[in-house]
Amino acid sequence: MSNQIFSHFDDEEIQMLLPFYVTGRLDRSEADQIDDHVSRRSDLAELLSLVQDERTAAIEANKAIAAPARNFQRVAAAIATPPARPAGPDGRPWDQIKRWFEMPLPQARGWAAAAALLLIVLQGAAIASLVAVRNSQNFVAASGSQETAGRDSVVLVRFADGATTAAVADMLTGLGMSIVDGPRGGGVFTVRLGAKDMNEAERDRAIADLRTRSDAVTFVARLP
Amino acid sequence: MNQMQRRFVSLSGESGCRAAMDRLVSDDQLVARIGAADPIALETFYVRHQARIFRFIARIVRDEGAAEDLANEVFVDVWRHARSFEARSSVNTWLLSIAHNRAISALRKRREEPADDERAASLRDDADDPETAVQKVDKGRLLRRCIDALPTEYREIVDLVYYHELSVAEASAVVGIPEGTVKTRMFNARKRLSELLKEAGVDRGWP
Repeated sequence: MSNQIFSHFDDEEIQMLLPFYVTGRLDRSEADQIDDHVSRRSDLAELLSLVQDERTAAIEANKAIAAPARNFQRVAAAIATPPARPAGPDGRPWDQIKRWFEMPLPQARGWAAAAALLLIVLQGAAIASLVAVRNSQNFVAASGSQETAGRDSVVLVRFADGATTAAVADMLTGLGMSIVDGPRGGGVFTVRLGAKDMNEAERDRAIADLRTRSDAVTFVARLP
Repeated sequence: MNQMQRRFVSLSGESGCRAAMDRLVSDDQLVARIGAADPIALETFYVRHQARIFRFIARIVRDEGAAEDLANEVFVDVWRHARSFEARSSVNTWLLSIAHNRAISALRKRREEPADDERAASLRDDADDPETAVQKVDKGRLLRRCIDALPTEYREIVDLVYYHELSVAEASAVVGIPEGTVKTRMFNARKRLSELLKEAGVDRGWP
């Protein structure tokens, strides 16, 4: 291939669009213009071949990087730490809890997903009975379950698929925690970590305790 | 767990719920659910995009250990900001822009990579002369190595266009530069690629 091949090809704008033409990411009118040029100019077809080679090389260079094993637990652990959040009414935990319970779930969902989700619902129904038991023991009105949660002392928890209601109840009692509501999206419960006035260090310790119970707990997170 | 529950476990597998969600739910729906604090949605989203995001960051920071941590941070960001995602851009563009910001920020925190010219010199070292270079290294491999040797901003735009298949507007949103700059940056990246190839003994005849 010589340097003269594209010597008369001086339309820089067309050259700039070729990579996007090759990946099919031009709008219709731009793609039509390139089509027109390619059909009339053999030098452009050759240039397109270079672009295609570059694209192939870039894809191979990316695929040559082996992605690490998926480890969602590390992400889940990071979520359990408090984010740096600007002060203001939008960031108040109480408002967040309210919004969370008011958020509608997406409607589009097939039967297969519904069947798979049923497992969580069944477990959720069993564990949710703990909410009722606890509420009756403490003479708390059903509509007031969220009021039992102190500010910042609640977290989102998903229990292990195989965890029985008795095991969850024992674990929470042992840790001095209680379910205040749920299950909601993804089979997640709201769990109160302890006293309403617990400080940040106490909350961190409580979350760490919860996370060590991997036999019964698969996910712990502060409210986003 | 009662018998009926066990049957569902055996039918759907340990992560059957996530698998079902992965098949049926779009990225937009997943982000809506993540915004509603659904951890299964986040896990599904993570499984769907983790490898691609890791590669994108690894190609920028050139450190796979750091890239793994940064990729995880991207998904933590997704969890924390999903509720404010307003679909002005696609989820893919939003996710890549978070990854771009994380990677560039990490790069700024540490000393920059070796200069482009040093990398070009290392390419030349592989062969005694241009003819030998062509014989010893197949052209596809050489092209990959030259892409890897591009400066960060060129390598990133090449990856965004060729591997992630972004449009001009999408690449503009991810990198935070005007659309015209996306086109000229890609053009200049390709010109630099030709120069590196030429230095390694392959003349493409362009530009």
